[in-house]
Amino acid sequence: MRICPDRIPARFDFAPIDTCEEAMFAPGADMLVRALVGDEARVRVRFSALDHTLDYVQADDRVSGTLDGKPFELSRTGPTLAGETSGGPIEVTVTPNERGSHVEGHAGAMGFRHDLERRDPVSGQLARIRGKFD
Amino acid sequence: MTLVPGGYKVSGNLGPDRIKANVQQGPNGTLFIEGTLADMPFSQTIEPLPTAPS
Repeated sequence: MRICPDRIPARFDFAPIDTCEEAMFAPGADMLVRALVGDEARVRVRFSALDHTLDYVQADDRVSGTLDGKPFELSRTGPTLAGETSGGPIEVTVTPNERGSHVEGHAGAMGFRHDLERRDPVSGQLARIRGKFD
Repeated sequence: MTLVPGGYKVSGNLGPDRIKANVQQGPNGTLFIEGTLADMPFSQTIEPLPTAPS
């Protein structure tokens, strides 16, 4: 099992995606987009951390964009989003449940299982994320 | 979606790392997110696109 370091490294690479911090960038694993607008919304997403950038469009059962300037494209078939990135293949399956959704798949060499629990928006807490990498 | 004034929070854990995010909405519906994963700060925007013609 791969374990996240106690501290995020100042730099990491995506050749291949093989740490959980790198997998955080994986577009299929982007739990914040899923929590805020859902998988069906037509949106442009820009994500940046340290000196890395992820820029993509989610629309019409496709996710396409760039990861640190390198292009990728994923396509959705039913509940599964899959395709190739510069860091390796990504496959993500989203299963709705009574609390929110369960997300399972792999990004590059990283496997992951995440749960998204929706909360009452009146509380100001929109969602809670619980995730494991292996 | 429409956010309440002051925005929303999303939190949780990814592996052993704590993730926290604050979400604000711009006038055109774009969501602006600032957060941290462990001690790594990140920022994100989610911009709505026009509906595709049917």
